[in-house]
Amino acid sequence: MPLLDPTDLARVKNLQLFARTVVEGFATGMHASPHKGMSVEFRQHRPYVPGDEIRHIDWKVFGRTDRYHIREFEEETNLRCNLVVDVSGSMGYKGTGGVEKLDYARRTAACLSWLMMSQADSVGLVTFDRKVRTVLPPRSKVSHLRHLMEDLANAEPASETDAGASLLEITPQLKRRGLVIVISDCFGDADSFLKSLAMLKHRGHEVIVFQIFDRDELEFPFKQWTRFEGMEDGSEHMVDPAALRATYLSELEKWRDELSRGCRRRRIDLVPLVTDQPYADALSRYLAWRAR
Amino acid sequence: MPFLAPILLFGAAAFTIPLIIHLLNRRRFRTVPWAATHLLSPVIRKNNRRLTLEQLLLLLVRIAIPVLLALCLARPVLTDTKIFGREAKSSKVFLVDNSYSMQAPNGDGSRLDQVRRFVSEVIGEMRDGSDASIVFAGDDPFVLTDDPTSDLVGLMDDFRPETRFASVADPAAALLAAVGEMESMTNVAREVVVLSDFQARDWSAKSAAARREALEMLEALPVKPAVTLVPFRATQGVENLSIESVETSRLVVGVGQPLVLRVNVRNHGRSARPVTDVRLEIDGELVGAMRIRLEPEQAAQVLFNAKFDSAGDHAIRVELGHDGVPADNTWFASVPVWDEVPVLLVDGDPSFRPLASETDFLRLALRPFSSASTGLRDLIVTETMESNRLNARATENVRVLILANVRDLREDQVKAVERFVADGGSLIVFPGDRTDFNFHDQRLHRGGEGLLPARWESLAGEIAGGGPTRIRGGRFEHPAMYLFNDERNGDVSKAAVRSWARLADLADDAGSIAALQSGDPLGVESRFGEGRVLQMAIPADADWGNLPTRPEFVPMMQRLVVHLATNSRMPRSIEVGKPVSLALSREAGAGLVEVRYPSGRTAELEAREEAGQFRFDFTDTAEPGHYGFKLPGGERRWIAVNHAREESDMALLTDEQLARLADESDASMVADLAAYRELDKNRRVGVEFWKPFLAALLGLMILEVMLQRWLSRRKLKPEKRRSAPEPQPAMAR
Repeated sequence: MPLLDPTDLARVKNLQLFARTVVEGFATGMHASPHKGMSVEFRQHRPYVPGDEIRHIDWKVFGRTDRYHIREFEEETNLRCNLVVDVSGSMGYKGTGGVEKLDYARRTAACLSWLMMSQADSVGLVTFDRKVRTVLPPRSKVSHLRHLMEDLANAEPASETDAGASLLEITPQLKRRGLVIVISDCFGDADSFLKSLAMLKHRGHEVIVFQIFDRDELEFPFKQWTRFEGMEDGSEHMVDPAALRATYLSELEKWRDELSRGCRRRRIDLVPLVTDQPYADALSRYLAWRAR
Repeated sequence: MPFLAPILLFGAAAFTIPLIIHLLNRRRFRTVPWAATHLLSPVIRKNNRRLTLEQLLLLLVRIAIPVLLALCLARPVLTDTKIFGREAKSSKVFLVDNSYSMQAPNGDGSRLDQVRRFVSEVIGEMRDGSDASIVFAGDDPFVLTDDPTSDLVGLMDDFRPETRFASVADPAAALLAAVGEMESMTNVAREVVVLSDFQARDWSAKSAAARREALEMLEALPVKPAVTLVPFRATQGVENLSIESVETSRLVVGVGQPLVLRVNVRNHGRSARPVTDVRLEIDGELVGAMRIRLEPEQAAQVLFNAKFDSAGDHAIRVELGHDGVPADNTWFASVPVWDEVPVLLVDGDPSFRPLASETDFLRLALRPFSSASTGLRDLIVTETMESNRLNARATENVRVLILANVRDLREDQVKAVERFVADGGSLIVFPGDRTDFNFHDQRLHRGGEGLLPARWESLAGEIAGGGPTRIRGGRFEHPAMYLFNDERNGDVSKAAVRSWARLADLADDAGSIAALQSGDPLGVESRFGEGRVLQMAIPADADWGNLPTRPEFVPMMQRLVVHLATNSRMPRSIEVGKPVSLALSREAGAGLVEVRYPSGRTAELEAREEAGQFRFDFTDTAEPGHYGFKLPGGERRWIAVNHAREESDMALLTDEQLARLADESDASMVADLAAYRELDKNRRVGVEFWKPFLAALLGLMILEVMLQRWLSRRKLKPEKRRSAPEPQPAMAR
């Protein structure tokens, strides 16, 4: 089944994902750039210094002031968006809803890629588990979308996850400020994860976290005796899940509260997605909200 | 802690059901690969101990419920309490000695009368809801009612004053019967009350092992009953005369032949008895009376001569004068009187020359009066025929068939002889020089399945190149040879046996009539169907030895034939309680047998068929006297039933012996009713103890329900509160 479903795409095609902050693109686009250059939006005058191109001298100002001033314009650039997708073992969970979390993440990432590229933004892909697995730098060419899809399709859940460390590893590689979309279940140490997000934020990136849940993980609906086998650490627990449910849900709530609070404090959108809900719906809802 | 219904303790095994369900639940788990272990692991770590304890507690409660239920149903008993004492409902087995020594006078009435009064008093004082049973200890002990009953009035009604006396008491068997009764009794306060005169013979050390075994079984009961001995022996050493036995001079009497009856009388008392009458009645008519005087512990013999003018069974009754124990003062006998004993001699080597035929010596021996023309009548009547004329018709009305040196038989003859013996006839087979031993082995022995009790192995002695032998002297065990234990009746060991046939592969029940000095048997006898077969090792003529020419041959053959003619039949005299088993002729077999009891009562009972034979079995011989049987063919038989005479010696256990008996039996002993009441009042009894278990059971059931609800609530409540939580985005604005 192709990652891009026309029906899903149709639901998001009229939406746009804008960066709320300035981003450093490499081509003309819809987003404000920190760089000044040739554009239609005048920004300021500054005194001429040797080396400036003569064609940028504002001769009208020279006529009034008899001094050389260079005319500077606001540059509009395209968005550089990096999709950071978690492909650790925990993303391989497939609950009673029947959709694997990684598959759900792939489709979400594919949809976002298509959306960004359709608005002439460049999109890159980073996959990680315990460490960074693949890095596909952002491009805006249409052919790039195919490479991106292939990388997404080839990603298989494996190994343990350490989102915090992986994001720290990625951060230096993202030279230009842009949009970083993390798609992960964020399982693991919340503090370390939040610190990594803060580092990204500190480097000027806008960060959105799509947190993927399976319904089982949210409701813990198991009744009979169950042996839980850790998908990452290989641990095994034989328990009566009904007896543990309340405590588990309480633990889950605490963990999610910690993540939510951390993200909110760092002005990071934390968007939970549940695999039994159509991702297109969830995305369109989020994008519509974000566009307001 | 003993239990009244210990079998129900097995119900406790139901505890395995919750355990199995628990284990099955744990075994029937599903495996889920789980991603969020960082959330689950700490939860499990934190709660595992609590959850394990909760589950263990619930499991323990569930296991305890069937265990407590089984404990309740098994009715536990707290022993040795004195809480209720005499007011408690009780279960008592009265073990009553009804042997005929209990006939002895004991103050007001007989010993058994006093026992009855004692039982009546005790039963009358038992509390409502109590149950009791009466076991009679005489002969084959029996229980008065089918089951222990709480209808105590009805039980006493069944214990009639005219209770029949038994020959002997068997305390061990009676105690075993009491064990059986105790097992089905319902109350905790239990007691076996032994009521007896404690006659030395019944309670001797000889039977101690069997008694101990029964007492151990009594002790092994879930609730051990108390045992109380109550001796009824107000009159020590009752004087008693008894007829010990009556012997007859002949096994079978012919019509008109004289019969000598020897009546053995003994004075068991410690003092001389005055002159006592001994009377003989035949068929209800007094035919003789004598007077004797016996010194203490003296035995005497009284002789009566009798003659019978008609064939058939004749009922004989010998009676002593009255004394304290009348049961052993009468002896009943039945004498079969025959017109004749028809014997068929089949001659395998006939000859017209005197004493040259195979059966000549036999005929002389069996009919000595007729042969000598003395005018006296022989009981045995012989008919001689050649072997080829033998057939089924020829064996009709014959009591003994003798095959003398018969070479072989046709198939129909073999069948006729087999049927004759199987129906109760007797067969004697003599070997000889004409005998085809191979045929005999193959058709008459048939590897142990046929008529002959042994296989002809080989010939021995002169005929086989060896030396002669003789009949081994000494004491003879076979009834037909008893006569020669007294040398005055002749010495068969002087007869020379020059040749003989060796017998091998003897049947299991084969018995030797006498042995040869060579070690081989002179003849072996065994049963075939209802009849008997005697296989001799020597011929009937003088070819292989000189026994037929010696005078001992006459009584020897006479007694062998009469023994075989009578021994296959039911003995005419048995002890009380022993069964009667009569073989009926095939023609008259089907039908009813009319039984006449000594009391005059009659009954009609059916004969049974078993493997082609008709038999009539009768077991109701508890009453001494003459039992008349009118068989389907019209034949009448009298079977005499007598008490065994062991009880006639009225010696009782001494006080020391009785005290030792009580001690060994872990029993209390009381002399009379007042002492018994005192003992009963102070007795420590057991109390049923199931109520605390029931309370605990109810408590556990409530606890189980509460625990389950509590745990379920803890499981379900959060689910209701948090059903399908929808995650909310945390937005930066």
